Amino acid sequence: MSSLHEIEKTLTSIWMQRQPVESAQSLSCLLEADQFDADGARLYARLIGYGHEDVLTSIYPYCAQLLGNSWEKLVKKYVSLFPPDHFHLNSSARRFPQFLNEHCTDLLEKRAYLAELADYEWLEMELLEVDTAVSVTERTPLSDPEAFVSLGPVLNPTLAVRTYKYPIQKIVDLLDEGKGSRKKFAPEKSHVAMYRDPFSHRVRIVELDDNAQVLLSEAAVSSYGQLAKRCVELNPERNPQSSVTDLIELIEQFHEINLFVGDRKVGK
Amino acid sequence: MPDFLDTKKRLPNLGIGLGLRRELATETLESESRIDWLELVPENYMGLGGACRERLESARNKFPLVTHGINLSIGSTDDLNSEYLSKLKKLLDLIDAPWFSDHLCFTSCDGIYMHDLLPLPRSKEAIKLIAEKVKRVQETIGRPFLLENISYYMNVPGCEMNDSQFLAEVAEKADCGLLLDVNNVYVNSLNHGFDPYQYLDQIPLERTVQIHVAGHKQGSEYVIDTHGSAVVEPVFELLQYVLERVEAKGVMLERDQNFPEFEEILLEVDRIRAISDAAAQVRHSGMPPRAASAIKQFERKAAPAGRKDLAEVKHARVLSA
Ligand SMILES: [Fe+2]
Repeated sequence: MSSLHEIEKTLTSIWMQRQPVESAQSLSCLLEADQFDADGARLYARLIGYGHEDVLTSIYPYCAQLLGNSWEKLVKKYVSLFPPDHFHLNSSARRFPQFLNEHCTDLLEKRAYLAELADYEWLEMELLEVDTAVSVTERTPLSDPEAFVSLGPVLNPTLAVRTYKYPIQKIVDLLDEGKGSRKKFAPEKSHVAMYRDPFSHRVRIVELDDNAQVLLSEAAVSSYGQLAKRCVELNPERNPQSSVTDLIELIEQFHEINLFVGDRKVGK
Repeated sequence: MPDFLDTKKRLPNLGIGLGLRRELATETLESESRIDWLELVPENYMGLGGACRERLESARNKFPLVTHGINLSIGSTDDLNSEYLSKLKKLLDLIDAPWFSDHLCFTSCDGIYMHDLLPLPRSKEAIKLIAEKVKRVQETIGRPFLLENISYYMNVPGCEMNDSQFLAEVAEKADCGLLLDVNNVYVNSLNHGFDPYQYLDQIPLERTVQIHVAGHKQGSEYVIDTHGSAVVEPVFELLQYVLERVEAKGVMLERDQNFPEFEEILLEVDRIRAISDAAAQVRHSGMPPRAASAIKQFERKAAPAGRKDLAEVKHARVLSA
């Protein structure tokens, strides 16, 4: 008699389409060849397959849009190489960017930005769900010179900054407008900041230029004054006064959109 | 008397509830006057923040909550997932659930999660394994646990007994409660050709703590448990049949897709309440409950179903939030 494990293993292989329905005949609990409910097994395989495609499509809508008819086949290949390994449903889509990088070189030859686009889409998903509480605290106006040197920003704890080789946000914007699916994109370094808004719980996405990216990467350990100094250094050809004015505007904007969520005292 | 029946006596009577779904959350949370309690899918909240966390907080401030899990995978030969159990325990402690439930099925094998409720070989070996796992789950979580009868669309190899015998033996050996889904009983009776009343007579109904009521859809090959249409009369009749015989501590409507106006859902909740009240009167009056033969005959109808019907099932079973 087949053991419970043998039966579950065989059914799993068939339902996950890792083995053909005929492989069930190896089970010794099947006395006659026609005893196996092949139609039922195919039905479950279809249901499970649709489920995977649904999850992948809901998490990677831009990749799905770009790939059109070949999307379904790609999802099947992904699931066969990276079967879901976690009880959290969305987590079954976690390794899709890795899959593109490691197993889809032909696809990346045509659309080299695809793996970065997938990383962008997964990051958005991750930040939507991450179990990090975000609280916004009151702040002191930067017009107070004492505050300018003794305080620095508190970053939204869900913040993640990515530097991509391709202009991912531009590609996403074009896809949103229904354009860009046939376009070729040349490499163009871009920085994207993503975080979850503490009030709407939606993920907000901000494109950063090179200087803003540097300033943001140092913001967690700097005072507002130190950031101003750094900003002047980063723009040696500019009038320092205008650089500082721009920085103050940027800081105010970051507070307004809850990328910064308060002030912190800076120790000497 | 088995320990679980003692435990059942001490459980609160929650009344008539609804599944907490993301799409219906706003209306649901405003309907305290017509809904007594909510059931939630723990996987949609365990270890998650943001909007999920906020919805959970709002729900817990207004309603008693219980969880109904997908991925405990109680029938799998894989060991219990300790990360899953510890996250589930944390959630159950937070909402102080009077009980929690999952399905009599398996969802994973050798570490692969299929994210679907998959039928088990109904064997002695499976019963032994499940009884041991249920005991460990109840010990770890420290709250009463219920198993739900699933709907299934395949004859699994290795079965040594019928569905009702399997459910009965599991519940008794594991000494756990039942979450009886009367729609699943009805759907299975149509798909696999058995008498749903006989099924109910063969399982330890007295272990029923919670009941699910839902709608289904006729597919080309099978009647599918979609949770996406109105509840049909034969399912209400099965509900009445059960409630005239035993007390359940909570009865609820599962509606996971193809949402109608919310008032339509509330009217179904009202209907369940009316049936539950009438049945309680029968129980308390000492009058004999209606016999199955007095109830309208059920019949199998077939209508074509396309791929979409099947895809919907998946949504109903797994993606509901
Ligand atoms: Fe159910």
